[in-house]
Amino acid sequence: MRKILVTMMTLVFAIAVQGQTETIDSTQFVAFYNYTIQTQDDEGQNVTDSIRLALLVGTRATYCTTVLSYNKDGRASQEMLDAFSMHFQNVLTDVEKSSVVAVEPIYPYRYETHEPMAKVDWTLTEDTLTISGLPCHRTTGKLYGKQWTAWYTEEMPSSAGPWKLRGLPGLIIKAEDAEGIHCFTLYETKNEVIDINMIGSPEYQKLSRKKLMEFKKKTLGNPRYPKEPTYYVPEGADEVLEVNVNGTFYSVGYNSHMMILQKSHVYQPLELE
Amino acid sequence: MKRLLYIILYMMLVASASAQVKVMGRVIDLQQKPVSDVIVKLGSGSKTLAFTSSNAQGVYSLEVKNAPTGEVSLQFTHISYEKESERVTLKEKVTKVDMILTPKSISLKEVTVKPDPLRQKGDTLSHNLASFLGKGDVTLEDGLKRLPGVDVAQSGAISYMGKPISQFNIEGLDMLGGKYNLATRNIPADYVTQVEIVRNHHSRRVEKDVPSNEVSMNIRLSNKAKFKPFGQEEAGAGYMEDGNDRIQTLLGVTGMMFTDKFQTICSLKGGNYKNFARTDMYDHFGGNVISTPATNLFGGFDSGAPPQGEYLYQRNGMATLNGIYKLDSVTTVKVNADYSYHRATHDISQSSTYLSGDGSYMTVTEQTSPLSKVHLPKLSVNYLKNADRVYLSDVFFLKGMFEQNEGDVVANEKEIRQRRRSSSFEIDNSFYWSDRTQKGTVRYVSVPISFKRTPTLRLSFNQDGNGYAQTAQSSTLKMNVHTSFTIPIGKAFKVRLPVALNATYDDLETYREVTGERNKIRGWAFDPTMNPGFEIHSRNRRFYMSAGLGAALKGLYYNRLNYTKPVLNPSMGINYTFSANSKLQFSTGYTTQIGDMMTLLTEPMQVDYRTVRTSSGIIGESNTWHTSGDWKWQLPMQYFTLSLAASHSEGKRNTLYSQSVSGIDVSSSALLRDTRSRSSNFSVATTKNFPSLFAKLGADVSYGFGDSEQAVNSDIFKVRSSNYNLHGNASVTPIQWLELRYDIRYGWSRSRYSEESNTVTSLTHSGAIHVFPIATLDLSLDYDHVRRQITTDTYKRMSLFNASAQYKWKQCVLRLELTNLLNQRSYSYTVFDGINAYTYDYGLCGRTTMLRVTFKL
Repeated sequence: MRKILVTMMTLVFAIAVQGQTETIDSTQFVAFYNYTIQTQDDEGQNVTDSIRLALLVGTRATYCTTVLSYNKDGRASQEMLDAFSMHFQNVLTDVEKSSVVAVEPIYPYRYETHEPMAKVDWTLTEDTLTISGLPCHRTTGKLYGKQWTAWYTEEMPSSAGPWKLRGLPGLIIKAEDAEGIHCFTLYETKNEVIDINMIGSPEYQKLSRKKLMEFKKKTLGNPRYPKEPTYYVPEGADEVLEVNVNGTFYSVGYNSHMMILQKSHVYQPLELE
Repeated sequence: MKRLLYIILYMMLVASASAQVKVMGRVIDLQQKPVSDVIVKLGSGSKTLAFTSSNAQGVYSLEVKNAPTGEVSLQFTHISYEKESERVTLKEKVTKVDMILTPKSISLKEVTVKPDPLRQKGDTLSHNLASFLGKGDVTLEDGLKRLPGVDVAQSGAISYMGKPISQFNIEGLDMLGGKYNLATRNIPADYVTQVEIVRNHHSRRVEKDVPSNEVSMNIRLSNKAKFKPFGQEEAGAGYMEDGNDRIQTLLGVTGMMFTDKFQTICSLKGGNYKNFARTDMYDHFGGNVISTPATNLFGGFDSGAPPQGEYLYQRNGMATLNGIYKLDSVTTVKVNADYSYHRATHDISQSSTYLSGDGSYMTVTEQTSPLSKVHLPKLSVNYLKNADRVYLSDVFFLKGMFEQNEGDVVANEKEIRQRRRSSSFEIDNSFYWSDRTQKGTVRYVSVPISFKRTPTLRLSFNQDGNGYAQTAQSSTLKMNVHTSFTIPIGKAFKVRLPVALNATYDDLETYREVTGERNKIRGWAFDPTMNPGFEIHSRNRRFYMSAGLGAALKGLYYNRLNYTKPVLNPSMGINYTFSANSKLQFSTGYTTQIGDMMTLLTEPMQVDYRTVRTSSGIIGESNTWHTSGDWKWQLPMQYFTLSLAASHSEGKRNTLYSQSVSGIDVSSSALLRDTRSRSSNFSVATTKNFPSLFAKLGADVSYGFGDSEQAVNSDIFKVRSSNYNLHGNASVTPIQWLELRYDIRYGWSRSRYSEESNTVTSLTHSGAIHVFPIATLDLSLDYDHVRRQITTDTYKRMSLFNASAQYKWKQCVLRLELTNLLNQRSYSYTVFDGINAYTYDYGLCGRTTMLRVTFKL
C-alpha cells in the first residue's frame, strides 16, 4: 500500500456513503444506546470497547446506526475509529416488508446483506426491574446462535430494539448476550421527526448474511488480526492517507473513505450461525 | 395393546387441542387503513400469556397454550396510537378480535436512563456521580468522598488508592492546576454527571507508551452547567463565645462558565470564619508561597498545629480569575490571576525538654500568641500544545509574598517581644518541548528559569528594655537546561540519554545588629548531570524495566570555596502488569546530596529570641540508598481496592547534627563525623463500596522503624524509633433517612536512646450522624473524641462536638453550624524528637454559631 502523508486540520469524509436516498419512513422517536464489547487487545489484556448507537424508530421501519452517523459527523475521530474497530453493522429493518438490510465496512470494502427479518422466539419471565423509573420485564431468546437476555419496557410501546434485536411488547432497554460479551444499554430517547432512508449502494459488495459471517469469521477471527488488522488486504487495494486532525494522526483509505486500524482488538462476532 | 395406545394418543390430542386457542384479527385506523407493527398482548392479571405484532396488512395472530378459563385482556399498543384493550373469554378454539386505533395526540415522553454507577474503559474508570451521592451532599467534593478508592483530605487534596492525583481536569481541560479546591468546593454536585479517574495517566501525549504511575481526574458536567454562566453566592453571620473576633462573618461570590472552547472560574471571598476564603486558594501541587534562602533561615514564630479542632483566629480574603481558551483540540492558553490575604493568631503553651550534656534535662516553658499576616499576589500565563507527536509548553508566572509576624512570648516568666517583616517576589518561566518521530524516537528540551529575591527581612527582639535585631537579604537565579533523546532499538528496547545542566547563583547576606556578626555569601552552584540508561518492554508489554547511571558533577563556587565532586547515582525501576487491575512496582536508587551554601554561614544568626544558629562551614554529604515496592490490586466492578507498599532506606552522612543547651538558649551546629541512619516502612490499605447500601468501608495499617544518631554537647546518642498506625472508616446509609460515618485511628510510637524509652499513644474516634426527616433537610451531629498520652502516666481526653442543620430549598442551601458545642478550650499532645520532648497545649476557638446561606446562581 502506498502511503501519502497529508496534514490538515480536519478531514470530512462519509463513513457510510449512501448510494440511495430513498426515504421509506420518518421517525416517531430516536433511542440512543451504549454498545459495549468485552474483549482483549493485541497484547491479550482485557478491554471494553464502546460506541454510541442511535436507533431511528418509525412506524414502518427502524434504522440502527452510530451516533456519529446520526449526527452526520464524518470527521476522523477516536469514536469513529472505535466504530470501525467494533465492526458494527448499520441495520435497516423494514417492518412492513419483514426484511433487513445491513451494511458493514470491513476495510477496504463495504458489504451489503439482505435477509428476512429474524423472528426471535422470546421467552417472557416473571422478573421485573425498574431502570430509571421505567418498569422493565426480563425476557430471553436466541438470535443467530447467541442466547440473549433483554429487558423491555411497556412504557415505550414499540417492538424495536438495537441491531437486529426486536419483537418484544415494548422498547428494549438493555440486551446482553449469555457470555456477557455484547451489551446494548439505552441511555436516552428523543422525540424527533427525521427521515429514515433506504441504505445500500451498487458500489457495495453484495453477500448473503451467512457468507459474510463466514468471511468475518475467517478474516477477523484470525489470530493475526488484532496485531495486524489489515493483514488480509491485498497490496494496492487502497492508498493510505495519514491525516492530522488537530494534532492527532489517523490513517484513512484514500479510495475507500474508511479509517484504517493500526491495532485492533480480538473480534467478537454477534452472529454465530 | 395397539388399540389402547391409539386411545391414549387420541385422548392426549383432544386434551391439548382443547387447551390451545388462537386469537386473531385485524387492526385498522379511523381511515380503515391497516396499522402494522401494533403490539398485541394477551394478559391475565399482570402475567403476559402471549404477544405478537401486526403485519403490513394489520393482521395479527396469537396462539395460547393452556388458556385460562376466565376473562383475559387483549391489549393493542403502538407508539402513534392510543392504547386500546378488550376483555375476552377464550371459549372458542379461535377467537376473532378486530380493533380500530385512534391516533395519539400526545407524543411519547422522553426518557433518560440512569447509566451504570461505574464503567471501565481501559485505564479510565467512569463513575456516574449521581449513583453515589448522599442526600446531604452539596458540592462536588462531598460526592468525591463517596467514590470507591477516592480519598479527600481535610485540605481538599484528592488521592486515588493512596496516590495523590497529578492533574484535575474539567471537561478535559486543566484550568486550575493544583488549585482544584476552587472547583471541587464550588461546583454543585448535581451539575456533575461523570467523574473519570484515569490510571497510568500521561500528561504528555508523546510519552503515552511509557509506563506511568500518575492518576488524574476528569469531571464531566451536565448540560445545565454548560454554555451559560452559573455560580454561587455565600453569605453568613455568626458569634463566637470567646476570642478576638466574636462577630463572625463570611461573604463570597463565585462565577463560572464552561463551553467547548472556553472555561472560566472567578471568585471573590472574605471573612473571619475558619479558613473560609483560604481553602479555595490552596495549591495541591505546591507553589503557594515563595521560599528563598532568607525566608528559609528566618521563618515565623509559629510552630505546629493540633490535629483536631479549630484553633486559629483567622481573617482571610481572596480574589481569583482563571480562564482557559482552547485554540484547537490540542492547544490551550491559560491565565490565572490570584490575590489572597491571610491573618491568623492563636494561643499556645509549649514545654520543651532538652537533654543537656551532663545527662540532666532542661525544660523551657513558653506562652505565646503568634500572629502572622501574609499577602500573596500571583499571575501566571500558560501556553500548551499537547499532541500525539509534539508537546510544547511555556509557563510564565510572577508572584509576591509580603509577611508580617509577631511572636511575643513569656518564657520561664520573662517577657520578650518578637517581630518579623519580610517581602519576597519570584519571576519564573518554564519552557518544555518534546517531540516524537514516526519511528518512536522521543526528544525533549526543558528550560526552567527563575529569579527569587527577598530584598528585606528583619527580625527585632526586645527583652527587659534591650532591643536587638537580625536582618537578611537574598537573591537567587536558577537556570536549568534538560534535554534527552530516547531511541527505540527493536520493539522491546530503548536507549535514552538525558543531559542536564543546573546552575544557581546565590547572593545571601545576614547581619546580627547587636554583635555586628555578618555573613556575606555570593557564588554559583553548578550541577551538570548525564543519565544514560535504557528501557526494556516485554513483547506483551507486561514487564517494563528502566535503569540509569546518574552521573553528575556537583560544584559549589562561593566566596573562596571551590568544591567539585563527581558522583554516581544509579537507579532502576521495574513495573509488572498482571492485568489492567493488578500492578507491581519496584524501584531502587542511590542518591548523593551535597550541602549547599547554607553550610558556609559560620557567623551566628539570631533565628528567634533564644535560638542562635551557626553553620559548621563543613560541606555536608549524604548518601542514601532507597528501595521501595508496591502492589495495587483493584476490582473496579466489585468496588474493591487493595494496595500494599514497602520501602527501606539506608543513609550515610559525613556530618552529625549537634545541639547544645545553656540556660534557656539552644544552639545547633554540625560535627564532622560519619553517621548512619536506617528506616523501613510497610503499609496496607483497602476500600470497599456497597452501592446498594450506599456504604463505603476503608482500612489502612502502617508500620515503620528506624535508627539514627544525634549529638548533645559532643556526646553521641543512637536513637531507635518505631511506630505503627491503624485506621478504619465506614460510611453507611442503613435506612433512607439516616447516614452514619465512623472513623477510628490508633497511633503508637516509641523512641529509645541509651537506657531511656519513651512511648506515646493516641486514639481518635470520629463520627457523624446525619438524619433526613424530609429529603431536603439534613440534621447532623459529628464528634471527635481523642485520648492522647502526654507523659508516661498522663493521658488527656478531649471531646469535640459539632452540629449542623442544612435545608435545601430550590437554588438555595441554608445551613446553621454549631462548632465546639462543649466549648473545649485546649488541646494537648506530646511529640518526641529523638532525645528531646515537646508538649504543646493549644488554645482552641470557643463555641461558635454560624448561619450561612448559599445561592446557586
